[in-house]
Amino acid sequence: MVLKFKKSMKTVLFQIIGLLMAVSAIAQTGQTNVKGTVRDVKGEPIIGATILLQGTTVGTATDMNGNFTLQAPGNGVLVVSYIGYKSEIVPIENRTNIQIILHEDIEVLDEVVVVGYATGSQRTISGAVQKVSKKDMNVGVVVNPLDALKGKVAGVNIQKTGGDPTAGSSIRVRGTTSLSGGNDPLVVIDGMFGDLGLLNALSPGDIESFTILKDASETAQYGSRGASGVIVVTTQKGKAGTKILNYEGTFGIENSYKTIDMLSAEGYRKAVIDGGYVNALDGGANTNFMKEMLQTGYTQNHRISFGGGTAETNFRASLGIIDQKGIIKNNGMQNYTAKIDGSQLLFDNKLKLDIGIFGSKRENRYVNDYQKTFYSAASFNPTLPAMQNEDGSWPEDPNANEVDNPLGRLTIDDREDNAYLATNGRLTWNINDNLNFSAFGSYTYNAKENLNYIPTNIKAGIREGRGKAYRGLNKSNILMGNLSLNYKKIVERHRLDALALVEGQKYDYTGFSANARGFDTNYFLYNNLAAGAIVKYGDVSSYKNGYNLSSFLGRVNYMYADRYIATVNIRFDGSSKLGENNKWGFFPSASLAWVMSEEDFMKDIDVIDEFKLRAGYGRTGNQDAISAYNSLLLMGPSGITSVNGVPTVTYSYNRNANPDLKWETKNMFDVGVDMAFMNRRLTANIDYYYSKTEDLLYDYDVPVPPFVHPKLLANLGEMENSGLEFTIGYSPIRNRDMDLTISGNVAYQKNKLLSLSGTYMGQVLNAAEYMKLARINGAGFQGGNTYVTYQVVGQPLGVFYLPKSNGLINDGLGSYTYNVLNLDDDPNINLNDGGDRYFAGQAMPKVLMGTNINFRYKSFDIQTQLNGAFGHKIYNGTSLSYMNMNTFPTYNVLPEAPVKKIFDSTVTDYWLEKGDYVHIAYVAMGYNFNVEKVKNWVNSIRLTASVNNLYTFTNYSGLSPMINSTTVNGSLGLDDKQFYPLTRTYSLGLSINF
Amino acid sequence: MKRNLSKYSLILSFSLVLFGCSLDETPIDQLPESEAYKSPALIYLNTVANLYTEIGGTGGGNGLAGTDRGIYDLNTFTADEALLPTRGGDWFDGGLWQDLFKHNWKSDNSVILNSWNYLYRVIGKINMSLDKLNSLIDENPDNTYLPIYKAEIRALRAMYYYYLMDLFGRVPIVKSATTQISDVQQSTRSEVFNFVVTELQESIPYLSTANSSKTGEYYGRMTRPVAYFLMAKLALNAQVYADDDWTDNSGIPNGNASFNINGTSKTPWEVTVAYCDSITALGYELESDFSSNFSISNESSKENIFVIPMDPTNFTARNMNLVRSRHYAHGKAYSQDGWNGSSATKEALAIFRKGSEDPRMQKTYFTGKVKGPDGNYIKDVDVDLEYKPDAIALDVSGTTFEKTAGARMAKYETDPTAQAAGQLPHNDWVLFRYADVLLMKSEALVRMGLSGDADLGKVRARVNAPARVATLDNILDERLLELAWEGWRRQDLIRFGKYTQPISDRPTTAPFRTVFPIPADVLSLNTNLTQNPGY
Repeated sequence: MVLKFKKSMKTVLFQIIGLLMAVSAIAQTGQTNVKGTVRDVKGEPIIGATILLQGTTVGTATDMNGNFTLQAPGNGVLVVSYIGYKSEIVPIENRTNIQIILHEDIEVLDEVVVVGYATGSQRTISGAVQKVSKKDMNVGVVVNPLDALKGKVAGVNIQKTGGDPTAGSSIRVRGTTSLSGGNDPLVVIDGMFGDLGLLNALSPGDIESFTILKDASETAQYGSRGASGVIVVTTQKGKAGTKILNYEGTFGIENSYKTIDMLSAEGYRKAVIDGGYVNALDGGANTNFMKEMLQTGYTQNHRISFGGGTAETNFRASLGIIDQKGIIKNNGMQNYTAKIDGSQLLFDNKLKLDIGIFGSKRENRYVNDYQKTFYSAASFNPTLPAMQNEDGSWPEDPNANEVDNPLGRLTIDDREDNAYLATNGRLTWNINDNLNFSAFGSYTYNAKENLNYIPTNIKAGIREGRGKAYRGLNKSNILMGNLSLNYKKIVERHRLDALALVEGQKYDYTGFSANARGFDTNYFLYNNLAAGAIVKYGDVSSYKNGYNLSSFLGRVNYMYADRYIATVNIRFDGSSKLGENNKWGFFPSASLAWVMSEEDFMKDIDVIDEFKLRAGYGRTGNQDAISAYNSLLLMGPSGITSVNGVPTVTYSYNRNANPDLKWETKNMFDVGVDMAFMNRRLTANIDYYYSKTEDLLYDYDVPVPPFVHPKLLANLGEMENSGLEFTIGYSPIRNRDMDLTISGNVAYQKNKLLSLSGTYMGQVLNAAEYMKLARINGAGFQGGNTYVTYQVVGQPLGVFYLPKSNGLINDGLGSYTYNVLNLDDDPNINLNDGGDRYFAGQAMPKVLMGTNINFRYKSFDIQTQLNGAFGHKIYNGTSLSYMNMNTFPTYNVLPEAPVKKIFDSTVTDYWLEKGDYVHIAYVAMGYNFNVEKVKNWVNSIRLTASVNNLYTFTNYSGLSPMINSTTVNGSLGLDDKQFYPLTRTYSLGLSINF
Repeated sequence: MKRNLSKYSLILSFSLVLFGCSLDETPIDQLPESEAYKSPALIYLNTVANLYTEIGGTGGGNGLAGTDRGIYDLNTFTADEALLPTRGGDWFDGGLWQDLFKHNWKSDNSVILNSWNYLYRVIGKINMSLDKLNSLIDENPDNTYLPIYKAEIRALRAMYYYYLMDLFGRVPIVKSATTQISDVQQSTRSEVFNFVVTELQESIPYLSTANSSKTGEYYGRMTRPVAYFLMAKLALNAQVYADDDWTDNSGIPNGNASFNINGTSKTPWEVTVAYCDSITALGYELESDFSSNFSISNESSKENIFVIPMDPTNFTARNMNLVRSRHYAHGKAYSQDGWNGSSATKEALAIFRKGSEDPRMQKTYFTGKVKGPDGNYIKDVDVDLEYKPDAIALDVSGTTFEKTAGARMAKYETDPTAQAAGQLPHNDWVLFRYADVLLMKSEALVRMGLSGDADLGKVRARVNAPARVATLDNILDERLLELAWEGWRRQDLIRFGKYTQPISDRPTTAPFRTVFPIPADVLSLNTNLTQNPGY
């Protein structure tokens, strides 16, 4: 029997009492046939609830519709129980039809929580662990698992930029702690290690719960993989004693609700005349190219799941499809998923076998090159017609070299087919009541094929040399296995849970790609590369590499008297990617918790249900920034030249090798308190953490000479992160007809780059003072002083370092430029790094907020979520570019540009704006139908309606403040002409349980 | 229980074996050192041939010439020959090109950093090859071909140090790939100069006398005529390179240098003439057609001495200069790119128009209307494209001829079959050629007080230009007329003391500008190094 999920002590108690009393029961008189239905407070039937006639062994369980029938005396008493719910004692009082409502057991402390390799319960956890169960996940249009989790957990920042269905979300757990790579949390799906790609392949409906391990006292279990947090995903499994068939579907219509409006053709012509321009091209049309690119999108999500189980065998299967059509023409995504899980108990329940198989195929049709496409859409000459020329080419302004006809660009066929097959199996041998042995193995296969064809009749295809076709396949094979021994023992007031584990992981990557150019027809697309005339050096390539990890873990969790909890993890990891002498890393952690509410002095205070103090310290590692073979000196193809008169590919040492590569380590300290009051109507958590990352892996600038290449992947610097997290949940109303729950989480995050220098192979390496990160692109921005965000020691990651402008200055001829201030003693204005620039703010938010409100009245419910980010800035490169009249009339500008007459593209802080916002992510309404009349074959019907992306409150003047404010790369903090239009989705959803 | 535990520890130790994955790496898609030098052919390929891939580049400051944002740009757009004007929204590029032209560059200029990193990267790779060859020679002291390989790449390294010295003056001499950061110390410019001369002199006897510009075994390689040419350049510019204080004397070079040739001391001018004569003796001569040196099939040129082999599909080195110069519509006429950029300065036009227009004007620049591959005038939308040479200025934004101002590069024949939007043509990029040898000799003779008329005359007669007396001024003019777009102008102006003199859009600049700053990044990464004076 797998009472895996919720098991309340009370339930057990009632069952035992029931059994005991049954023994003494002798006579039964006046039997009647009692029928009834067991439902939860929301009116949904409870399947498999136990109905016992008090004092007897007579009992039954509810069926698929929550119905039961029992022979019982009219004066009998029923004991109704179900795991996770408070048991009800219901006198029959001669009724023949009894409606019973079970209330959820709010004593959730014993809910099973998967804490990494171990399972425990909230009661025994001493680290910062948060669980989001299915019922707590986001609703409305949820097309990937991160959508379901967004805004729910303090310190977990999930961000998606724009409304492109092919774009994924980024996620950061407690900020960015590594400079390069490895900032994505580890995803563990039913024991399998995966990444965000694998997580995104899952249908969100298949997920039972997320458990977020935030602090190192728990993530250290994963040692080398846990430095950026761990998301443990448990998928839905079959349950004993049930049969289910479930359909869930949503359909939504998607529209653009905000685009950048440039000068219309009319306005363009007027500005040309007013400005006395002689070079302007007038194509005679009136086109809004952005509008021409738009379409009404849709999103649909259908999923069927079925399964069943007995005490010994259960299975569950699901099939799903998610289909999204973007609001930009030719842009869309489909994700097909199939999943089956099963388990079998054998040999008197001594042995348990679990298997899970998951397959998915995701097809993306991309908008090729965001920046180019959206920059083109905005700045393309609006007087050109929105149709092809007679010869099949697209109208172009030859002078507008940096942009192409955006409608022509949309004909670029850019696709990705991404297939996953993930399988896992586990054998659990319950050696005795206290000890079990488990063997787990998983295999994940991923094949990602990219296909791209640039037609011969568009500008990009012409410059490639009569079209270009590309095909590339990247495959990964990941094998993982572990063996563990788990010992659990409760002796009086001592509770011990110990784990020993050995683990191996093997990653294999292979791939190839090919390009062909010189096509005379667009018919073949990327389907017959031989149809292209030109294949040069570098057009074909392939690779194969991989790495191995070996690990050992020991863990002890000890609790005394339900009051004092201690957890210790010790892990050793070895990675093949590291330098010869640095393969192994040691990652220990420890945490302590004191459940004060169990102490005598607090136990009697009724209003306090829980008061738990926690403190933990742990060390984790990171090696994700390292690619295979980075520590070895290797030759690769470097080009092709004449050798003895024959064109020959030459080999060269194409990067600096670092034989001294080692683990990046993060030490983290966390202290927190968990509180619950008033029968858990009010819950609160507060956590403070401080972490310091050492031996930061980064592509450091190194001096050339003596180094051959200017970058070296090495372990040098240090960075610190700290933060404060609050989570609060309050349910002021909780009764049969009405529920109201308001929950909120706020996270303050602070980050500082402490050092970027250190010792490498006995030599001192100094950091470059200003490391450039993100710069403005487009016409007139190729080089020079166009960088906006930097990495600078002593500053937070992604700091704006800009010349200071106090406004516009009239040059006397009616045109304006940015007035740049002199900030140093040098009398000249120097826009260079180290010159007249200052630190103008940070790109990453200081405060992140999520608020969820759920309200139910009888069968009707409504949910909404608000997200917010504060304390950061955004560089509005879009306005800098589109307000610059120097680019007019070749490039179109914003309607106010001809009025403001700014003839300047100097990057200053003029366009640096506050990025604060509050976003209403969705409002979703639901209604549960009364299925009384069809209860024999339908258990529940629920209809939902939702609006996603309702509104954003912000003072930011650009299209949206929800740009990349988290990922350290060349777009951090920068809004630069490449925003996918904002979309709003109206959807209807239906869920039927049979 | 105890007994059980020992059973389980057996399970665990079994699992250790099972999961003790190997942590050794055996790459199979890259070549490990142990495989790279297994045969004489591989030794040649991986110590010598691979260095030649570096001479040209694919952009971003790589390559000695042909690419953008590197050495060629520093030598061309800081002189008085050509500029990249700001054209409205195009070519402002954060002030990059204006800074270069106006001698306003700072030590964080990306073109300067690109050039430094490129030159030292190649030197680093040469040093790795030399270290390897030295260890192979130690193992096989009687080997005959290894010393020849070594000499060839030492000469190559000398060439790279010559470029470094020319651009940056005081640079560190690094001779081995195992050098520590603390051992990277700057030498004076004259020390670097002496090092380059000595390295070349020691290598020359080992080098083949083959013509490196012709296809075959020595195509694109460091051969004796290439080294002679470098020696001639070093000698001709010796007054500059031997001058360790270039901030004095109003920018006129006043270094003292003498050469030791076979035990006798010679003046730089004598040495220049001697090396020029050595090149002549190897059979080089002027092509009758000036333009054939830059034609699609210029491998047959008798005049070219050192080239970067180019081919649309066979080689990776690029020529971006035609693309960068011509108008968008001009490139489009060939289904290629035009970036509508680099143009001749007013000063260059004036030199071409001194007296009657020089016959090389139309072979060097596109001016006025231009015909496309179909023989018709190229259209800019609906009117004929027409370049306006005299409308050029550093910033032509908002002017009538914003997009068409400037005479454009025409020196290299447009290859309609070029790949990469025009950047991968058949024409080899000419680094060194014989016309320059004649002009060097003429100049050296004049500086010695002798007549340089004969050599200057040959160069002018080839294009049917009227003869001129070989004065220093006429020779400097001739060097522009003959060598425009070939990346020599900065060096020539510095040698003549005219680099800092005022021209259109640029007032007089300070003599310290004759040498570029050590890039700011390099200084912050290696605190042993000091900045050049003035920066």
